[in-house]
Amino acid sequence: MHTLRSLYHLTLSTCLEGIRHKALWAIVCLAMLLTLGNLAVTLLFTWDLGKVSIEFGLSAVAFTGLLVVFFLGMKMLADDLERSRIYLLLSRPISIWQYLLGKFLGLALILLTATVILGVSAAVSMQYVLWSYPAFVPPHFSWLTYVMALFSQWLGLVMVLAVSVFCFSFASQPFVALLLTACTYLAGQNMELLRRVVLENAYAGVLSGRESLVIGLSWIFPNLSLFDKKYAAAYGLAFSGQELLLLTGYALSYSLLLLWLAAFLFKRKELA
Amino acid sequence: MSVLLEGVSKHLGARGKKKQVLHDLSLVVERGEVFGFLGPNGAGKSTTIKLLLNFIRPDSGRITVLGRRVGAEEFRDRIGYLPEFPFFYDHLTARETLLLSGRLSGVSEPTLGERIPLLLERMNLAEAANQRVKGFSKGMKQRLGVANALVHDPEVLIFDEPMSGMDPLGRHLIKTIMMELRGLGKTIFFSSHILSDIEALCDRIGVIHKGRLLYAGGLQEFLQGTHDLEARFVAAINEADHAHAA
Amino acid sequence: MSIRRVVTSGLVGLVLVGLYVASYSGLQHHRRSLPDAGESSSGIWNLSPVIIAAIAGEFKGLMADYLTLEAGARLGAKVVRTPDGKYREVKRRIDWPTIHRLYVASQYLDPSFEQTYTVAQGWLPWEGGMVREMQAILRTAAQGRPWDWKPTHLQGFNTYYFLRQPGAAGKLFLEAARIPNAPSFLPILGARLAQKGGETAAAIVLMRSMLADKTPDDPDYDDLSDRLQALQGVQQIEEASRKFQAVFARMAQSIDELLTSGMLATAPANPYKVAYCMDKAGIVYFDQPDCQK
Repeated sequence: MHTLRSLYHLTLSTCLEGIRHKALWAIVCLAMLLTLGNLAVTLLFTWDLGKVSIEFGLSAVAFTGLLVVFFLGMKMLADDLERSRIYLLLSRPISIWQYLLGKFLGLALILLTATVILGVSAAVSMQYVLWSYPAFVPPHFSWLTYVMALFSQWLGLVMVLAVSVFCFSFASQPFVALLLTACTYLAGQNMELLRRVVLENAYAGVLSGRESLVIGLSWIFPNLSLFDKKYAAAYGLAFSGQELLLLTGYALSYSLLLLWLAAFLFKRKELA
Repeated sequence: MSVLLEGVSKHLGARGKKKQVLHDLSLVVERGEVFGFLGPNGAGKSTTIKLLLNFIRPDSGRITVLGRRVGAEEFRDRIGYLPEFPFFYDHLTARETLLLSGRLSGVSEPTLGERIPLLLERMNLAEAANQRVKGFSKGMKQRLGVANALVHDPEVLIFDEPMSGMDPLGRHLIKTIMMELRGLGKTIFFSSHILSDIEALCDRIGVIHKGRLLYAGGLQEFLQGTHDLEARFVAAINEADHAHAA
Repeated sequence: MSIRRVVTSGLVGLVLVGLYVASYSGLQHHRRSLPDAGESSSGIWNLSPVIIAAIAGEFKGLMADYLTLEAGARLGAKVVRTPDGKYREVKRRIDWPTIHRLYVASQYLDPSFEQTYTVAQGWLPWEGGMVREMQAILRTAAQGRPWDWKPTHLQGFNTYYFLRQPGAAGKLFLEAARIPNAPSFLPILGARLAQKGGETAAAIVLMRSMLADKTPDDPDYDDLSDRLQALQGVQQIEEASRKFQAVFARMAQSIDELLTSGMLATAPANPYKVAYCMDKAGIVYFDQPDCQK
C-alpha cells in the first residue's frame, strides 16, 4: 500500500513540477500558434484541404510532443542528477524502480496534458477548414479516428519517453542520453521502412541477405511508425479498436520492460 | 549504536582514473550523541555521508544504521538527511516539498497537517510556505532542507555542512535546533569544517584527512588540554601529512 | 550613469547599426546585380524515395505536401520585378524531369494526395510530353485512393487522347465506373470506346460485372442494360464476320452478306431501335445505321 502511495505522490509531484514549468507553456503556446497557422497552410492547396489540415494539426501535436520529451522531460531528469535533487527523493524509503516509474508516469501525464490541449487546438482549426470546404472533407472522415490517432501519437511519445529514462539510467552525461534517445527515435520511425526494404529486396544495398539482423533490430528498437496514424486520420481510413488495443499493449509492455532494465542499470549507478 | 562503519574503503572516478577516497574507515556513532565529522576540503566527509545513505557503495567494509545493514535492509524511514547544497523542485512550494517528503516517508496526512506548519514556523519559513522554492534565497533553502530532514521525525540525522552559506542568524537557528534535537535524544552525525560549530555542539568527533580517519573519540581528548581546536586540528593534519610523506 | 557614458554608448550603438545597415544593403544590392540563377534542380527530391521517406520520418504527409507545393511553384508563368517597381511576366524554361521527380517523391510519401496527381495531370502530359510517366503516377494514385474514380478515369483519358488506344481507354473507363460514386456517363463512354478499339468482349465482361452489383431499381440500370445488349449484338456480328473471313478469305461487305451467307443466323436486336451497321473494315456500329462517323 505504501509502495502505491509513494508511486502516486511521486507521479503527482513530477506532473506538478512539469506543468508549472514555463518551458512547457512556451512549447504549448508555440504549438497552438502552429495549429492556428494550419488555416494559412491549408489555403496554399486546392485539393484535399481536409487531409492537409488534419495532417498538419496532428504533425504539430507530434512535433510538440517531441519537444516536451526532449526539452522538458529530459531536462527534468538531468536536473535531478546534475543538481542533486535526486537526493531529496532517494534519502526517503523509496526504491529506484519507484523513483523511475514515478518520474515516468508523471512525465507521461504531462505529455498527455499537452497532447489533449494541442489535440483540441488542432481540432478547432481542422473543424473550421472542414466546415469552410465541405467538398474536401475526406469521404470517411471521423472524429473517432482522429481521437484514436491522437491517442496512438501519445502512446508513441510515451515509448520515446521510456527510452529517454532508460538512456538516463546508464549514460554518463545527460547530453549522451539525449543523443541516444534521438537516435533511437529516428531508428524507430524508420524501422518498418527498413524491414520492408530488406524483405522486399529493393534498395537493400549492404543489408541484402541480412533479414534476420533487421528483424532482430526491429524487436530491439521501438517500432514507432506503427503509432503514426496521421495518414489514417487524414483520409478517414478507420483502424480497428483491436489494433488500438494491440498498440497499447505493445507500448505499455515495451515501456515497462525498458523501465525495468533502467531500474536494474540505475541501481549500479553511483550518485557521487 | 546508531551508526557503524567497519573497514570501509572506496574508490571514485572514471575507469582507469580511479582514486581512492576512503581508506579502511571505521567509526561508531552512539545513540543520542552529536558526532562531528571534520576534515579539510576533499578529505572524504561527503563521500562518507553518501556511503551512509547508500547513494554510493563501498568497495569493501560494512555499514549499518540503527542495526540495519545499508544496501541490504531499509533504514531511510528513520534517518533525516540534509545535503551540503539542498536542491528542491523549483516549482513546488515549501509546503508541497515537505508534504512530498513526509508522504514518501510514510507519515500520515493528519500528522503532516499538524507537523508541517510547526516546522515552517520553527524555521522562519511560515510566510513563504506557499511560495515556490525557485524564489528562495540560499539561507531559506538551507532552512527548508532542515525542515525536510525533520518532517518524518527521524531518529538519526545526517547533516552535510549544515551551516554552509548561512548568515549568522541562520547559523544560530540551526545550532539551536541541533541542541534541541540532542535534548530529544536524537543522534546527529554532521560534517563540517567550521571548528567553532564542532566545539559548540559535539560530544565526539572524527577527524578525516585524505580518506583516512586520523581520530575518532571525545572532543576533550582530542584537544589534549588545549582550548584551541583550530591549532590542534592543523597539527593533526600536518602530522598526518608528514607521516604519509615519510 | 554619466552623460559621457550615455553618449559613448549611444555612439557605439549608432556605429554598429550603421555597419549592419551598410553591410546588409550592400549584400542585397550585390545579389540584385547578379544574373538570375534560376531555380535549382538540386534538392531533397533528387534523393532516392526511400531516403526521403527515412528523412521525413513520421512527417511524411507534410513532406509530401511540401514537395507537391514545390512542384507547383515551378510551374506556370514567372513574375519578376522591374526596376521601376512594376511586375512583368516572363516565360521560363520548365525543368520537366525535376517536376516529375517532385511528384514521384511526393507520391512515394503520400500516394493518396489528390493535389499531386491532379496538378501533375494538368501539366506533365500536356506541356511536358511525359504521358507514360503520368500514367505511372495515376496508377499509384488509383492504388492509393481506391475510393476515387478520377485517377483511373484520367488514365483512360490519357490512353485515348495521347496514346490513341480507344480500346484500352474504354477498359479503363469501365474500371473507373465500378468505383462507388463514379459518374453515370463512364460506363457508357467506356463501353463505346472499348468496342471501337476492338475490346468488345472485355467491355461485355466489365459491364456484366457492373450490372451484377445493381438492381433494376437503380437509376442507371436500364442504360447499362441497353448498352450491354447492344455490345452483345456487336459481338455476335463481329464473330460472324471473323467466321466469314476464315471461310471466304475476305471481309464481309455488310451485315446483309453475313446473313445471306448463313454466318449470322438473324440480325441481333438493337435496344437503341436502329439497325446495326458494319463498314468495309469490319467495324460494327450500334448507333450509326449508315456507319457514319
